[in-house]
Amino acid sequence: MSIPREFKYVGTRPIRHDGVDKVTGRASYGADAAWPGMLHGAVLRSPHAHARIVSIDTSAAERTPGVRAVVTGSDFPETTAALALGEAAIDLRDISESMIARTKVLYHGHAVAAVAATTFDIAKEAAEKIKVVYEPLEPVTDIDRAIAPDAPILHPTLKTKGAPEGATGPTNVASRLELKRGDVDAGFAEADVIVEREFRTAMVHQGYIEPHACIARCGEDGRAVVWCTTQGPFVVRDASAAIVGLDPAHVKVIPSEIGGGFGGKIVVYLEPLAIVLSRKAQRPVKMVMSRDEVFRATGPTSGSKIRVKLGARRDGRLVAARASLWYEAGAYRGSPVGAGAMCAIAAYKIPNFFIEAYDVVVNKPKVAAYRAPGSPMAAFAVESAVDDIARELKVDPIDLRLKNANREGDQAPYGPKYGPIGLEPLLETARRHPHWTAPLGPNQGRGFAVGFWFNAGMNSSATVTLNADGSAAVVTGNPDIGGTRVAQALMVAEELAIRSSASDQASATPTAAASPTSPAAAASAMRRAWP
Amino acid sequence: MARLHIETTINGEPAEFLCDPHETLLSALRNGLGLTGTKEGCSTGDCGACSVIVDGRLVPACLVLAPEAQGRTITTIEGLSSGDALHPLQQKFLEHAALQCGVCTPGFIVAAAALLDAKPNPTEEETRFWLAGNLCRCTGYDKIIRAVLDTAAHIRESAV
Ligand code: FES
Ligand code: FES
Repeated sequence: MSIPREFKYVGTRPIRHDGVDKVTGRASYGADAAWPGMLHGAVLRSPHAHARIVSIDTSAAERTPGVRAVVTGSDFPETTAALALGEAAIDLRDISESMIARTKVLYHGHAVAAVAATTFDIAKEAAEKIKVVYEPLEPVTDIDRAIAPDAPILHPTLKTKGAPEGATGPTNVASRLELKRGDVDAGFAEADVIVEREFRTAMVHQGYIEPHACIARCGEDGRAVVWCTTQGPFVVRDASAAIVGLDPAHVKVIPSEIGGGFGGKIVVYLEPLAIVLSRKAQRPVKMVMSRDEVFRATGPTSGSKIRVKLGARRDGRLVAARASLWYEAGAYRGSPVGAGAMCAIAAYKIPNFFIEAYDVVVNKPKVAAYRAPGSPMAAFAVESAVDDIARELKVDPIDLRLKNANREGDQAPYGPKYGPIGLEPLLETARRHPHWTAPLGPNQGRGFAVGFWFNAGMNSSATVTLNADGSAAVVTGNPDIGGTRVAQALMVAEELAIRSSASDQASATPTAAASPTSPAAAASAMRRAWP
Repeated sequence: MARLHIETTINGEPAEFLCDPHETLLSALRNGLGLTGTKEGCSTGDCGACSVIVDGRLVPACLVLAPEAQGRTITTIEGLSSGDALHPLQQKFLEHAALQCGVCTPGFIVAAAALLDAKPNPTEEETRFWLAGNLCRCTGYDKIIRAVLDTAAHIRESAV
């Protein structure tokens, strides 16, 4: 693989456009804004992981002085819309119900009602006065319980997509898919060493330092303006519009600076609540999550159970792989298990394999994207097994990986042929690096693993304006999540062969003024500009 | 409930605000005084995003009650630059690219300023230990530590 040309600007490290604002505390993040006349919102959350909602009585909250609006699930229309989205597909009905429960609560922290009042304290105290009668149900908190024949069922109407013919009855398995090539049994029969192991990983939260926050204002004309911290202002616009029943053209999203997201700030949690509260109260409504709410009620990545079996010949060639992946989706379907299956052995040329992947609902928050969604758990399992093979064969772990590395033109386990990929030169470089052979000190260890991700940019767009002085301004619809402005500016400078270009306040660009851009595009722009 | 009237000094200037008795200093700074450079990441004293200096001592503003500000001297991130020049720590954070999303950055810079006030020549270990109460989810810390050590070296050199 070669880099096609020498770069002049790409790869340099100018001081970023938003740097001074960020080191002085002037940059405005989600919770930093205040709008005239705004109210403060608070959410009442379920104390049960799994329960039927028998009744909700909001009258005491509504009577509380200072309270201007109360909403529950019944204030939101049923929606069946779906939103196609780069690294994770979004079912808006699920997002809507995950945002506020209707007939059942499906995780501890599931929102049940929200209140807007003149102060946050009043809103919070009023929310606690809402009387919810629950009928608690057995919670399903891990894969084994969820797929047991007598498991409590989260969604009575859920059917397994991709289930073998004849599968019937209620289930917690939302989908099943398989990837295969060659003859796995024959592959294992010709293997000299076989390793078989099972791994489990826990749900892990993205842990961004900035909690979710927004302000929404719904005007007399029914149009909404939303200020919020998000990785995807266009997703917020389209999802919020569908959830509250507005035309997307009547929702303007103004992204704030964003204090980390790692995939977790693509979904809407507060924005539709704030819009409907604002519509009822006819005042702007600000909502900010506590850290506790972030951890209880926003998207972590899937916990998983993964079984891996690898077979290799004595010369180190991997000849067969079998893997079963079960990923926790949280309360609503849509774990990234498909990506996990596609990535699991994507680094290696293995002639015979069979991979099956199950998306399983459990009584935990609905998972969200998280840094190469689905891939890390699969890599953890497969790479651990590859290391076991290296140990059994007494070969260097890098040598073993080099022997099996996929190269340009090889076929990916999920179908297409690879374009240029850097695995082989990367392994060679690592093997030559002094760190690989340096003596280890006390309490030091050394390991090696390979990971795979697709690097899809999805839809992205930018407007570049040439200024009279020969500089250029760049406007995109992406928030700057850690250097996007400067990365985009460098690419524009490179392509236009001008000395510098000012990437405009991309994050201050409202959806009404920028062209649709997917959250993946920002990450991918940074990967390209800082090789 | 009657609100309390608090008089204090913030970033070298007299300041006053009204607060509830149970309100935190963090809330008073951010909501009462509009000083939103001090961030809230946890409200439980775990992340350091709300670091401020009260009477020379580094504290998480989320664990200080607003009424405790009465008669004290408080420094926040807004008080570090001098108007036309950045504080050396701010400059070095930029040069070392010691921030990504930047939401932890004010807390780190205030905490590091308190460190350099107390100890102008910290070792790397002392610096890492001092900043252990500040969480950053983006950078991996290394550039932050380098920026602080480089600032210390720079301040010492310019003092000679
Ligand atoms: S907000 Fe004060 S330590 Fe996190
Ligand atoms: S730069 Fe994002 S948390 Fe530190």
